[in-house]
Amino acid sequence: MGAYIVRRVLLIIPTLLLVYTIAFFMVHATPGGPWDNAEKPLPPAVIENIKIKYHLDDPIWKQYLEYLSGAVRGDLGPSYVNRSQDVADILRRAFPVSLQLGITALVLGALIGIPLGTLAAVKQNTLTDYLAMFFAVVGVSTPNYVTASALVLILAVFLHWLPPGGWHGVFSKTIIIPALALAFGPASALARYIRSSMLEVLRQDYMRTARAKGLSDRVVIIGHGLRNALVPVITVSAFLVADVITGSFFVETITSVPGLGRYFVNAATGRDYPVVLALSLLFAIVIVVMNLVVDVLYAVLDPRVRYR
Amino acid sequence: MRAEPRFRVPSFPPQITQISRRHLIQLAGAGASTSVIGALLAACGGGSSAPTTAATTAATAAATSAASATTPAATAAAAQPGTPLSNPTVAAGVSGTKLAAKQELRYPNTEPPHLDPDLMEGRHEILVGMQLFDPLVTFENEQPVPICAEKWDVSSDGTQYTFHLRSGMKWSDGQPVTAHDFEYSWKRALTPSLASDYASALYPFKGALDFNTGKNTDPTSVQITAPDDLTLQGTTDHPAPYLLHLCATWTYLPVPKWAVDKSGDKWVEPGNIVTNGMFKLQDWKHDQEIVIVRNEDYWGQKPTLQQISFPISADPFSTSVKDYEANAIDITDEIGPSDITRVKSDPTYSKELHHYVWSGTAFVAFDCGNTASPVSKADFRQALYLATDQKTLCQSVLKGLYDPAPTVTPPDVAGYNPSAAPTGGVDAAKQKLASAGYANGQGFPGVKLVWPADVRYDLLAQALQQMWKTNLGIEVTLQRMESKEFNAAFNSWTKTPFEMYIDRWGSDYSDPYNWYPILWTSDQDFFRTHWKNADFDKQVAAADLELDPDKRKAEYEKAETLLMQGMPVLPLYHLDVNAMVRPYVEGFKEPASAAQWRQAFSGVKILEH
Repeated sequence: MGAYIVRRVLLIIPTLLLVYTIAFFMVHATPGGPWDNAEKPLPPAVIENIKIKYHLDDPIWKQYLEYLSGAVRGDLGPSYVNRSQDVADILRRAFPVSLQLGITALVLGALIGIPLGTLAAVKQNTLTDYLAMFFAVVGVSTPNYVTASALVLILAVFLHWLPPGGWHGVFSKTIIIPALALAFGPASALARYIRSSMLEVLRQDYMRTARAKGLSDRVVIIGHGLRNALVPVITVSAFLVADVITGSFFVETITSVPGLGRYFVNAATGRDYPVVLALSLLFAIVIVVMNLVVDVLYAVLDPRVRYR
Repeated sequence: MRAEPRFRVPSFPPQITQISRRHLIQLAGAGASTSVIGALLAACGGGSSAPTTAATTAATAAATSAASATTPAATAAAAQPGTPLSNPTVAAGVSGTKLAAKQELRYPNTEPPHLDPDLMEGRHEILVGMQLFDPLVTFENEQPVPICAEKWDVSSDGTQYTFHLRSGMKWSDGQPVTAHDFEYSWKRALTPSLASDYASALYPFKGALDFNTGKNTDPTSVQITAPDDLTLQGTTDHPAPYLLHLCATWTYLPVPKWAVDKSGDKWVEPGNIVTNGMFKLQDWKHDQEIVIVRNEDYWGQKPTLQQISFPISADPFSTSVKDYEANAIDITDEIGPSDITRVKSDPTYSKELHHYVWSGTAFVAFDCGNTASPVSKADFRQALYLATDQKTLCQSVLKGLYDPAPTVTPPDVAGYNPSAAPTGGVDAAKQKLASAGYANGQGFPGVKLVWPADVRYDLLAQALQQMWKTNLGIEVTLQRMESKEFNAAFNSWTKTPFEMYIDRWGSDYSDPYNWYPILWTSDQDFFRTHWKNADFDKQVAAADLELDPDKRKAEYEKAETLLMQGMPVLPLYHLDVNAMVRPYVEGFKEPASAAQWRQAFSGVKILEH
């Protein structure tokens, strides 16, 4: 197991390198550069000077290596758009916010989705089942910006129960709307996965044995059924987690949460190369780490799984 | 099928008897159709009552708010054409004049990329920056108002400017404000390595262009000097009657050298920043909020407001109306077409809505030099103009957000000449199209219209395509471009041909110098129209040098006539601002041009509410 983990960790490096290469060339291949301003087009001599200052006049392979060597040493470069901040400043400030919001959304999603899925599985083909799956389909199909806008309109504008936006940490009222909006997607996905997983587990012989032993319904369903049903679901949720904790552009824009989400899009549209590259690397790291965590968890939860 | 083992579950939710899938779908269908029918009935019934409430509230609004101009006609009549605009201050909607204990205003904004005067180019940093830094002069009702400069002399030939600074002014860290700070800031803005977008604002000075483009690397070649602490001198290339207007803009603000030396790029961050204005930067939580507080050591008239906070949203156009309705902000002037109808028909908010003119025009620009395209023919461009119904565009497509523009230059800039607009309607349009060689649209090769992604342009482009097809029978293809892609294309159009695109120009300051010689003359041609008209160039050159204001205005008006005959751009609408202001906010002045942001908040008082 240890050797497996070490091997997986070492594999992160070539993965990141590949992501970096693809992102680098895509970003430089996109038409339009960071200083293409229509409002007051800069004189060519000025643009030359900027290129020299930011090493953009070097041959492309040299820029590739320069940024890479900087990134390895922790220097992620300056932001071309937000001139008074470094990329590292931006990440240090915005990532924790997205992380906190994402984790809250996931917890909420799990609290909503898991019981819903379990209920649907146990009461298969009843009205409860149909309603739960209807909710799940709606949750998966509705884009999260529609949910966010609807929640803001209803809860903040019409009912004045919650503030319409802003961020004051995890334990304040401002987190409720964005967390809910972000939670519906994972909740619905989880509900569906749990339901199908549970349905399989409920048919197993050991469930019948447990019941025959006289254990209460709750212990049988939760202790024996859910515990086993969760295992395959965890493997599927790695991407879910990565997606949510790196921030959602729409939800963060609509609810004014100062997270990473908007930087993903604004850096791309503003051709802020260092920010785009840093964010691509960050997202890649998060996904790879999440996958590894989930695989290890899988081995821990299911003793039949053994890694060589 | 083998019977499934039945598990008994806890009592909540109660056990529901099994229902077959077919029954469920029947139930769902019945439920859905009843709700749809019910919604339709409600909409039909509710719709008829809405117009009457809007009419009565509009009447009361007009009656009560005497000082705020609610119709563009009123504003235009009050300001003589050619008079730089100053929007009226908002009168409070509540009665009584008792001030609230906490004088705090909340105004929405987007994250500014920085707050450096020498780099400022966009609304978001300008509106905050103009509160923090004081310029030499500002303008109110067309008259210059001394701020940092107590008085100034202009030589008789109009090229030598000497500013005498006020003594006793201090930066927020206690250092005195001197002429050296202005000299440093202006030369810094021109430094090539800073890559300031607005360095060209300083080009009137001798040596500035060469220094900025790198032809001359010696900063002392720029004719801006500070002979002593309180005297600032500048020499311009040619007489520049508009120079004082420029001095009121953001690029001309002073910058403290020692702060930049100490903190480099980060000198604008809270804790490092040093300012000399009515307000000081207290906090800047990136992406969240900017808070500025009254400068208690300010030498001049202190504002009544103690604090302004700018909650930051990534897209105020989509969030600010909701924030206003949820009472998170006090003013918003970023109302989009999707919200404006709702706001206008709301009984409360329609009273709080104010409509101002803003100095600027949106238009379609043509490549007059593209001989492979119909747009190079003046008759064709005239035909397009006559076939365009600007009133419908503004009222129906843009939901009354803006005023139609019969001519290019906006009403507040000298040279505004609505009589120069071609007349004749669709019939004349068809005739012009025939003169261009495409009678009834026969043989028309098709043209392409591009624009940078913006919800207003999106709507406009489709409406124009429709109008031109219906009225002229011609085909127009549309292409919407993402903003940097458009910018790259825009920069390439100095050399590569194009056909037409939508864009706009908003005045930095309300003077014709910010329009005619910069935008439409053959050598400047800011919008790459490749329109060459020697008469127009001569007319503008003569007007630029004219020092008598009335003669100057007449000269520019003649230029406008020539401009509308050549039609290198097709004017669509004049930029306006629709703002919602809380009834307890008194004295807010929506800036008519960007340089007037300084006065926006200085007179604001919060009344008790």
